[in-house]
Amino acid sequence: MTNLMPNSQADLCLSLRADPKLVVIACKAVRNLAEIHGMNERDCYRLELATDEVCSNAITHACERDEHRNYRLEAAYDEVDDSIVVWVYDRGEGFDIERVKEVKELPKPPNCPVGGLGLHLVRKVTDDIDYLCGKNGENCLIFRKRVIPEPKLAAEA
Amino acid sequence: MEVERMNRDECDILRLKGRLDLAGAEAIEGFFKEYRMEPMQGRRVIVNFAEVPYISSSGLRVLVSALNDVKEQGGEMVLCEMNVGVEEVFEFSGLNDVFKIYREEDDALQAVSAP
Repeated sequence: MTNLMPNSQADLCLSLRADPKLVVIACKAVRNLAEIHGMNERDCYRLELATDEVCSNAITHACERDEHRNYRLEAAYDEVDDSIVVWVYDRGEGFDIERVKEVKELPKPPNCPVGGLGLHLVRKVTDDIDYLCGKNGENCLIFRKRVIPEPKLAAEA
Repeated sequence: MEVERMNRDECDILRLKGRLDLAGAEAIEGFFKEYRMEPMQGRRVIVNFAEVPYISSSGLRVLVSALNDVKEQGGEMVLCEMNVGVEEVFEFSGLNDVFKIYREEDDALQAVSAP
């Protein structure tokens, strides 16, 4: 992932308890940020999905190991790339993002469980994804989605 | 997340209501656990998404599990009335090849009723 902004420039910072019912707060906040910057409705849905998947992963895989049972989310509008960037931090075991990127298509059920489906969807609906394992035990999944506005109607053009 | 259950032409109609995300999936898992305990031989099931504005992979997992249960007992389960966003999540996951998806509930009913 290129041109990552320092997190001090984040427009949105949330610390969330690892409760599935609260994930929607993060999703709506990121969606609202994208709407403010003119992202089209279809892509706002996709951005909401990506946010949901990453936060849900943090809850189900990472927060089990964290005594505080919480995770952090930051989001920002990147003027340079005209995109929304989202950072989700947790203290889980971590994983190899390159292995996730290698998977082109998931095997179909019922022959195999649908594990890994969440990150597969994030890759499908975002323009860029990366994962950083911090020295302090905190990991960060980052994704970016470019802002494409709604197409103008013929009468407006 | 709620499930309204009804019967049409000896077919179970399950009308889902709400966001089918991690919290929603946990909520309906209980329903499907009880549903699985009932005699399911040859059961025909239509899951109606008209009031589901949103789905994530957590929701897909619950549906795949339910589909496997119904199929294992010789039944059939189809889906209908999805909005564009929900339908796209099925496409991105490749599960549109696994589930039969119909535009209207009547189309789904006709499909599962056909001999």
